Amino acid sequence: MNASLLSIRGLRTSFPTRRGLVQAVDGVDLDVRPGECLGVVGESGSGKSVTFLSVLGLVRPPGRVEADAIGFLGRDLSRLSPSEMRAVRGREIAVTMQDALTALNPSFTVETQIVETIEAHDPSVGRKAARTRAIEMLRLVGIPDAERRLSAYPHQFSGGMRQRVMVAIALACRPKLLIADEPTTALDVTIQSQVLDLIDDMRATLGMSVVLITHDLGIVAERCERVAVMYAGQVVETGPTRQVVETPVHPYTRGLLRSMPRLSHLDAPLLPIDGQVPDPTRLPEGCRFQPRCPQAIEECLQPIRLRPVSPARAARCVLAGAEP
Amino acid sequence: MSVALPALRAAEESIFVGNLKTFAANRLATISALVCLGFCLLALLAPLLAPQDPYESDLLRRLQPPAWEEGGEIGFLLGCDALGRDILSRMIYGTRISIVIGIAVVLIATVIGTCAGLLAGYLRGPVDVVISRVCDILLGFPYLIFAIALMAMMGPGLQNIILALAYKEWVLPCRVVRAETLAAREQDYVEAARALGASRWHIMGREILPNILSPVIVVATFRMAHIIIAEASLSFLGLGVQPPTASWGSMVADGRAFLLDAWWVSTFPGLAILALVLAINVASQGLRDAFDPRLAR
Amino acid sequence: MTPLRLLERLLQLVPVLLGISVIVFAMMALTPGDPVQIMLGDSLANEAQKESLRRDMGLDLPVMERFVRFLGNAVTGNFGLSFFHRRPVGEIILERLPATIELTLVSLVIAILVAIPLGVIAAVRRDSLLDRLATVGSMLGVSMPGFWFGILLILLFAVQLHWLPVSGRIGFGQEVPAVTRFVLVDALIAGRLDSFLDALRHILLPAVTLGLGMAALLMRVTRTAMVEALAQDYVVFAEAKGLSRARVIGRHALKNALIPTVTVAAIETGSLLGGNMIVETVFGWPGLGRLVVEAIFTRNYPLVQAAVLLYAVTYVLLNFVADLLYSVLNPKVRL
Repeated sequence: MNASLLSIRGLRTSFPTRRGLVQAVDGVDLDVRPGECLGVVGESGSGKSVTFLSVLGLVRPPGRVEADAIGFLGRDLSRLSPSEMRAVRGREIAVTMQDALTALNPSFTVETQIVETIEAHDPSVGRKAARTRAIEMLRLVGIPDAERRLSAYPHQFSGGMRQRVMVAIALACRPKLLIADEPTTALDVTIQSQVLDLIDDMRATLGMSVVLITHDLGIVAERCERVAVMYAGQVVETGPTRQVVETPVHPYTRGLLRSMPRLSHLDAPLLPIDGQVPDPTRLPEGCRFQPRCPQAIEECLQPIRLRPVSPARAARCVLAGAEP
Repeated sequence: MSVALPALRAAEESIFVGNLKTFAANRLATISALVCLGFCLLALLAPLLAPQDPYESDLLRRLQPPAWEEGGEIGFLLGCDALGRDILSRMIYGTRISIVIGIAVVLIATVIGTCAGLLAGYLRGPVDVVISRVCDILLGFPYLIFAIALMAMMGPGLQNIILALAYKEWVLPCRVVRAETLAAREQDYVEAARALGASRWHIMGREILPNILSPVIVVATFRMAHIIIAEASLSFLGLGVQPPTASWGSMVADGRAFLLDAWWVSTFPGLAILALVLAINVASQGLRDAFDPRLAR
Repeated sequence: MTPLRLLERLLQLVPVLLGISVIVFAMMALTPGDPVQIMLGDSLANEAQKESLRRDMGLDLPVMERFVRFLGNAVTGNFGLSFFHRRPVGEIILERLPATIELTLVSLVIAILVAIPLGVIAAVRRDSLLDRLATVGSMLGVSMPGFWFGILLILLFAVQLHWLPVSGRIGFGQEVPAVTRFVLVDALIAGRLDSFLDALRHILLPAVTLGLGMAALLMRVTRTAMVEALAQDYVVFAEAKGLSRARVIGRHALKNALIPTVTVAAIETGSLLGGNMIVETVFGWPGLGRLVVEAIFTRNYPLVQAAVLLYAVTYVLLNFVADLLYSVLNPKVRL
């Protein structure tokens, strides 16, 4: 797909552990289009965060990343040298993490942490100009009294403000893609929507794409044009959010939808998915969801690939396409 | 209580066995533990194992070199000191001093420290304040200096060394036990015992103590190494056991005057200290990793 | 740390210092027999002389009064007369103190220069050969009795190789006028490079003995703190910002890892004081530690008492400094 900003093909990431090799990401194909917000949904351990850490080359040894290709603006990120990769990180693809309290360095002021990012990608910028840009960024993300707050330490901000600071740092170099890893999990419910609104605003203001990693399908339904559902290191269903939510194809997506409360059907019973996420060192044969799947048939024990369901949709299920 | 407790005890026991297995799986630590055991045997069987009489001096053998050097004799494997006494035999006898003092000080300090820590942590209030203050004050003296000063005042002797080292040593187990007790007294099993009307002595001795033994054991083994070095240091300064009793520290000191022409007199006893202390340190680190992962920092 | 908080922390030291004074005072009472007789040893003193010495030392007063006098004297630095030297104890201690401080500082520098880089590299390249060697080295260092390590160094570098002197602080004919009483500094002030180098050669072995012992411990602390810091989210975030690896390790991780390291270093400097006694004895270093050891054997109790009190007070103050450093380095504690 040439229209993609980021195009991941055949990404595999594994970690050797004492109990055996953990294939945290196993053959993931994903596309992010310019200007869109892609939701990546899955339970913890489904490989959604590791996928994007791998894309950015942030998986540490002994973890291993392999990919057929990671296309980004005409380059293959999987073939870049460490220093070329460093120029992409923070400059073209930025990341925000789950909890700003742990992601921001407690020993440095906010100023240091923004300015060093700007300087890392633009060494010629003067200290003063960098500082001005830092203040600008803090204002942009809605931090009151930005100039004074610049010299504060992360712990001196409230939770919501801290999250904004992290967004400001991530966006300091105007990236083309923001990977927001669970941006709301660590926050109070009241602040969650503020932070999501901020990310939406920034997407519009800076004209960037956003990958929203979350375990909350509700947030994706509200905010993202397209969604990719991950399970046990694989993408099991992908497509336009509205279509996926309204007519889910994969039994796991259906299970996820049934297990979350919906405003329109408050009286409908919440149904958890039976069984447990598989042990990553002992994955089931064939379809990974098959042991928990209510519709499993003999064929599910065979290896399965992501199959197109409609021009815009695909699912990793033998029943896909058979359903309306 | 009698219904609930056996189950708890059984669980505690199986954890203990599991910890032991973890320890045994650590090969280096197991070997070190065996080395420690070897030193203990050496101490016990010194009269049988020592090739010579450690006190018999023979001026004809003054500063006789080790067996492999010219002028050495196989019966005096590691050579002789300035009084012509066999160094190996004196080292074997010296094991006794190190081991006896190490074990005695750790035992005394652990018993006193555990009792004080339990009282402070469980009773809280004025008892805790007094015990904690005393700990703070004793911790105000740097390592060794307290013992050196005490030895200077009390005079030399085996008993006095044990006392001088134990006077301050109990503070460490006391602090650990106090912290563990403070945490334990909020736990369900203690609350349950309290609700069932168990006496405070029963709760401290029978409920809390068995559950906090792991860190106590870890601290005790870990400190043993320090104590053995401290004893050797005191003896080296001439403040330890008195001649002619052989102690590794004083043997090293004996050789200082002859560094130029008899390197072996100081070197071998020091090597023994290093070997024993190293074995204890490695073993106790293995113990700590197996028994108390929280302490494995 | 606000001035008020600082004052509060300082006030907390008072009961500890008072307790230490009580113990140091009480140690004298532990001496079996008549302290005057013990101090005089075998010298033939008549009853009148003993009585006057007893009165000089205030031994005829009630215990409480003696303690108050002891405390008052201690605060004003008056520790009485050294019977052996026939000079005030305070004066003798002051004379020996610079040598001990000089040795301690040089040891500290060696410890830090060895421990921090090694600890950082070991943490960054975890499980590498260097990490393993460093771990084994630190285990050896922690288990090594300081006096024996010193003797091994003498055997190797002084006796075998003749590179360095066996003992002392400076060679004959190299003495320089005392200004600061730190020989290394005084030699530079006097413009005597030869004396400076000679003093450096003298201090090297004792400082390495003390410094490596401390480095063993400090390296472990640095490594652990660094491993912990490197596993933090802020390190991943710093890398995700596109910072260079050197900056991520050298600034983001190290600044946080240094907090426990510096704290331990300050506390361990206090422990160096104890190690000083041993090492000064081994190397014939004319400092306070050796003075105390000599005083013990000449039964010079007022001197021993004063020195022990000084050591303990220094140690407590160093712990206080460690606390201060901790709060200075850690912005979270500052308020």
